Amino acid sequence: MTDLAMMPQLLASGIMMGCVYGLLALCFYVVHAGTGIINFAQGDFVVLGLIAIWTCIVAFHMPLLLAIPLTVLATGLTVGLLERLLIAPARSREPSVQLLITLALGILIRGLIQLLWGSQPQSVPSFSGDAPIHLAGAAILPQALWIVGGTMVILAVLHFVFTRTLFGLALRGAAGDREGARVIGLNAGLISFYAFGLSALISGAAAAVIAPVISANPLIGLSLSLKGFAGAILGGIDRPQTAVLGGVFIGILETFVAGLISSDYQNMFVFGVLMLVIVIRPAGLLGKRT
Amino acid sequence: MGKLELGIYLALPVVAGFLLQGNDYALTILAFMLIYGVLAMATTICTGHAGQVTLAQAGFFGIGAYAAVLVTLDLDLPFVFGFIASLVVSGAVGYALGVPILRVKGHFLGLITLAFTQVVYEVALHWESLTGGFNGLFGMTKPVLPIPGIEPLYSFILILTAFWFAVLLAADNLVHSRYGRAMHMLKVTEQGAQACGINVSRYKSDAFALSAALCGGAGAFYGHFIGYIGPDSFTIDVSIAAIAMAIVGGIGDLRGAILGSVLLTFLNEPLRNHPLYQPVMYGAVILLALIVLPEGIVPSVLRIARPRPPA
Repeated sequence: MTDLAMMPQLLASGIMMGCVYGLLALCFYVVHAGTGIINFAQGDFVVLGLIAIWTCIVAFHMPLLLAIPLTVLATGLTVGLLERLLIAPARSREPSVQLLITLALGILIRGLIQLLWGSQPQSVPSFSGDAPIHLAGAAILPQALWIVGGTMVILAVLHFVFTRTLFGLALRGAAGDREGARVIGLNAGLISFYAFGLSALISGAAAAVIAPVISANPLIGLSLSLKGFAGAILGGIDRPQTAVLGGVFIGILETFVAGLISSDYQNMFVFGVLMLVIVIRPAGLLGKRT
Repeated sequence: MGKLELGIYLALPVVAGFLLQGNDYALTILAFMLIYGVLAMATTICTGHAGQVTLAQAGFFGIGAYAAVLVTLDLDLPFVFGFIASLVVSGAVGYALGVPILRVKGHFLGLITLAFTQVVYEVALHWESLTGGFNGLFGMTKPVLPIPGIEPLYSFILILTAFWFAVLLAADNLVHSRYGRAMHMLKVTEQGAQACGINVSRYKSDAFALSAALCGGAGAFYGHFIGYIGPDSFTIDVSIAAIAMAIVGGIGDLRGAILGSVLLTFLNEPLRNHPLYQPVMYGAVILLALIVLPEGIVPSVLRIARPRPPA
């Protein structure tokens, strides 16, 4: 196959992975906006969701209509609990301590999953079969439509949260001016709880739709974190829209690099892009100049 | 630190190593404590003292190890040249990397330095002609002193202790010098430092490059001690261990870095035989320590031991 003929195929796969990275970038935005923390355990939240959806679909043979909400709920509740126990006590500590706490939280989640569930990746069946749909020269998995559709639904819900709910407005306000938010009496502890909870709900939903593609792999967390973070920085972590677009771009970029050059150096490529953005435009390609 | 206190720190590994001669397992653990001690002190300088959060230590540790091993294996030179090469190469990479990435702060810097460690891993894995790829490099021997009557492993511990103590002495002097106080100002208030006429970006790069060079030196000792290096020797776990030791022991406190490296190496030893429980226990201990002793072990204990006089 010539390089040109591969384009539609690569673009289709890239958009699929990009949706996942976009949602992860959004999680980074939510937690950072609410607390100022960059959550190193972010990818492991998604892994929690992957394990939950595997449990629901493969172990208990639940219908999708039950499995997806349960996955989202389970991830959200687990993370909410962890936030109260471990993150909340460190809210006003210096950055290196908060960083070590989310790092250690990631290690703990990964370790617990390996201990209780095993470390071998387990496959999750596709939601609606594996017969590819041929479209414009690309073979698209039906699951890709679930992923893109799921992302659209999540973004629509979040748009509502950010623009219509008190929490969303408070979160965006806190992101803009943390000191000011405290002065007008926003409860920083509550915002932190909701921010981590919301990021976990998004992670759970993303995990549910992506599980058939990347399978329930307990060790994938760190790599997901890095890609999502790269997306958030690339687009600009100050606004949700730019963070998501950055994530989508990283997905497309990664797929093209893997398809046209080599998949050996994927992380290096993402890192190179990060460095470039930091040097040229620290606020992100789409971010506001500061 | 006073002269007596420093003397005690120097005497501890020398005497412990002497008494443990014959017990290779215990001497190996002691060597790991010293190697990780250097990594933890390097992290204390960069993160605890100058406030630049870093997870790049494993990357520099690896770069130093490869540089040293290539010099001793391929050029057939003695260990001391490999050691110097490790300091120079890691320090230079640290300086070159520091200039662009130190524009970002806090958690962002943490994630970017973590990405750097991942890149070093990938390069070590795929640049086979230089690094031996997945199989790594092996065949190097540890440096020993030709002193009659002592074991070779103990004489290696003596050389390693010399490096470890030099790092401690230099770091202690740095922290209390005018130069080091300027570095500390970066952590306390960057704008304030700028207002005082401190060249912020230069001091940041210096702190980062210095800690990178020290990690590289530790890597040179590690590679020649184990006799094998490969990509898996330099994963992100090493960076996490380094920052965990520095912070759990006491943020910005060199005594804390030493205590942290001793305690966490000691804790990790029985866990290594139970790989299934290792990550859970490790993560749980770090989290517990951070929540129970918010400032790290040494400052918290000192506060209890030496209550402030009433105003």
